[in-house]
Amino acid sequence: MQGTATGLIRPESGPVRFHLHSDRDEYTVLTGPAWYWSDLSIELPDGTPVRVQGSKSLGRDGNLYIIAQEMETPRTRRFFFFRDEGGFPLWKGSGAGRTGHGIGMGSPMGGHGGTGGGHGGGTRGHR
Amino acid sequence: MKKTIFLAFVFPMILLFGYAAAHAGWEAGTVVRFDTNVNRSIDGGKSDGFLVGHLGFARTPTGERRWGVTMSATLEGAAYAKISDLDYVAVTGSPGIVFVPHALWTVAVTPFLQAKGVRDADQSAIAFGGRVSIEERIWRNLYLGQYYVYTDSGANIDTFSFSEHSLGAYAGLVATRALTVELGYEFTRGDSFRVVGTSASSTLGPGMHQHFSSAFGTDVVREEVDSHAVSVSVSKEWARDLFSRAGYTFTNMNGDLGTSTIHAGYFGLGYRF
Repeated sequence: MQGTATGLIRPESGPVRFHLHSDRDEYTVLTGPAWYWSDLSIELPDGTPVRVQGSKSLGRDGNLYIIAQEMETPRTRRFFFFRDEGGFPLWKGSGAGRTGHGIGMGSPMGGHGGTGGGHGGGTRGHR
Repeated sequence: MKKTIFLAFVFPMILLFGYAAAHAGWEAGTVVRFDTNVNRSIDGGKSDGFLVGHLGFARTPTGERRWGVTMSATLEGAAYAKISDLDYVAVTGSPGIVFVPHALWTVAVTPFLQAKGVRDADQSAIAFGGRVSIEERIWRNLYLGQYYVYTDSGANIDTFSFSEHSLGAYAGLVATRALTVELGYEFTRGDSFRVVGTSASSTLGPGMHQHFSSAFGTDVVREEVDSHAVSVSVSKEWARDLFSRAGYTFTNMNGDLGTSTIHAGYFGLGYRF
């Protein structure tokens, strides 16, 4: 989705959001928390051309929303990522909630010693 | 010891339950595993397959702040196809802290405590330790991680007790919306029980323990070893709450008594609720 950004809101809690005006519709784009924006030094003055990739949905309030996965500001040729290919929020850092990282499916790496050596479980492996 | 356990587990739990900004959920699953050297023999080894069932609870931060507390608790049970003396039930608790100093870096500190009851009671153990990890995002779908894990496990029979230090690194690729692949390497230095085939009494060095294991039907010796392990794992999301994970690890273990090699793998299905 391509258009211009206006009305950036950086709340203390909840996602940073802005309006995206495309040729046909207006969307509210939901991104990540304010500290994540600060770290990535994202600036989005009103009227900035942006390209947003993500999931579109119709809110209960009748407005159109985009859960942003990726955003590009074509003028500066900068890309900002908010979610990975699987939809995992990148501001959560650690992959603890990523696809298929089951609680009880630790990698069997590093297991010698004891009966459980190499048998995975909650304390072994890097997940 | 009691003070250490309080600081490592009880205090973080007190923090945890006072912290509301977190996601929590349950997970149940079953995993089929194989291990070509369950007795850690320097001469071939006994292979076995086993089925593991688990029920776990995990609590992760929402990410609205740079730091958060995590918690996971798992109950698991395993049944071995051949050596049923290795069947076990284990409970693991693992509170932790996650800190994100920068959008592209994550630091996690995770102590853990595990109680394990094994059918061969010699091997039943209480283990505790901690893990420190750093993860870096290289690109949207590519990440690297490094970690250090310390484990101290006290078994009913000292030969099966061990303490070890592990250093590892991994690279992960979120290949598609539902598929993640990880490659890893780990170096471990610590104690391990080992089956040496014939009586090793004459070659026992300082710090080695020897014990006749009824589970393995032979003498077992504990010694300090260095291990190198490489692994690959693939995770697949089949539906919103249903996922699978498969992995393979090759481990080479070196000590004064000799070298052991281990091929281990697993395939598991999990369900979140």
